[in-house]
Amino acid sequence: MRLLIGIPCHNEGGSIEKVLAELRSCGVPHDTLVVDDGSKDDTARRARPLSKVAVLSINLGIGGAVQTAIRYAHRHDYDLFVQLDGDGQHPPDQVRVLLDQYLRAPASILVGSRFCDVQSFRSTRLRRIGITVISSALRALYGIEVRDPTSGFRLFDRKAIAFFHDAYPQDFPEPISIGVAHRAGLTYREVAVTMRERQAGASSIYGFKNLKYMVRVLGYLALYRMRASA
Amino acid sequence: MDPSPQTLVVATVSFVAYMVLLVVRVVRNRLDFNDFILLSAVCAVPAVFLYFPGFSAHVSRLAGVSYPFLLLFGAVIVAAYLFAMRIAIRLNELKQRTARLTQELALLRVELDAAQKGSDRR
Repeated sequence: MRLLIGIPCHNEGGSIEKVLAELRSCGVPHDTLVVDDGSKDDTARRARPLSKVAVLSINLGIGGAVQTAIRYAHRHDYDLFVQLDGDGQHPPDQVRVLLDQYLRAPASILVGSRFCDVQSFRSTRLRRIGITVISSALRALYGIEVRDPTSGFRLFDRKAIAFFHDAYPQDFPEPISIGVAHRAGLTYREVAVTMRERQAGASSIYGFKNLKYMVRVLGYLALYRMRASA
Repeated sequence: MDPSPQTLVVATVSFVAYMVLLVVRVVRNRLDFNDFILLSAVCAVPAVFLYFPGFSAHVSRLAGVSYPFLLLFGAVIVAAYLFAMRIAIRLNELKQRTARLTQELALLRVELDAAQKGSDRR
């Protein structure tokens, strides 16, 4: 089974080498593609000796970067695609967990969840409140239960790769993609994984931006729900 | 109340100058023809009100508006809004196309790098 690990990065020069080095010893045969999403630092230069690198000439956001990797997976006929952050939050040894769970009970999308495992780093209190609100919105609008809808650590099978390669949500893709996939008949499952605090760099969502992010996510969830009905 | 001769002259000169500006831009392919039609409304609607005051009074009565100039401003605002909406739709399309092209360019470079590495090894 051919596996591609896609690593979207924006200014992750401080952590990408460590992530790629850890991936080499994760015990799972795979290829990697780092997607440099318009970084201003040396992310691409640091990643090149260890991985293929796709450099986006302008910043497209997480949705655009992940879609680039999914497109690559689709074009090169990969069986599975794993999305993994370049900031070190997703320990590469957890890729094996996702893969084992997929082989045990396949689903089109496996979401690595922080909230199924008490040992995992679970983000700040404010963000956890936000995650709860988004989960509630997904339940109300799409009829799905997702404990960790904003997790960027997920596995897609061939069906999900084919579905998303041409139409991956560009704004707030993590929660929206699960809702949209469910409406299209794809299956999903949450899997307990361990996550860490980011190893370097800074989050782009902080302070007042958290509230702004929340309002926009809820708006987009409603919008995509209307589009799905149309 | 009919407009004075001075008003007619000033307005006519302004309308003609504005339309010439628009036509020149369309001919030089700097303005889309559909946008030209919408932007012409900014000039055409006031012209109708100015040259045909009886007609504009009649339309105002039909619309239930006391003063014809209110209808004039309303029509011009609607034309401006339609133009702004058209621009917003076009911008969104361009944004999606730009994203798609950026992705394709990045993936092509990956293929090129892989091909170059392959030929270097040989």
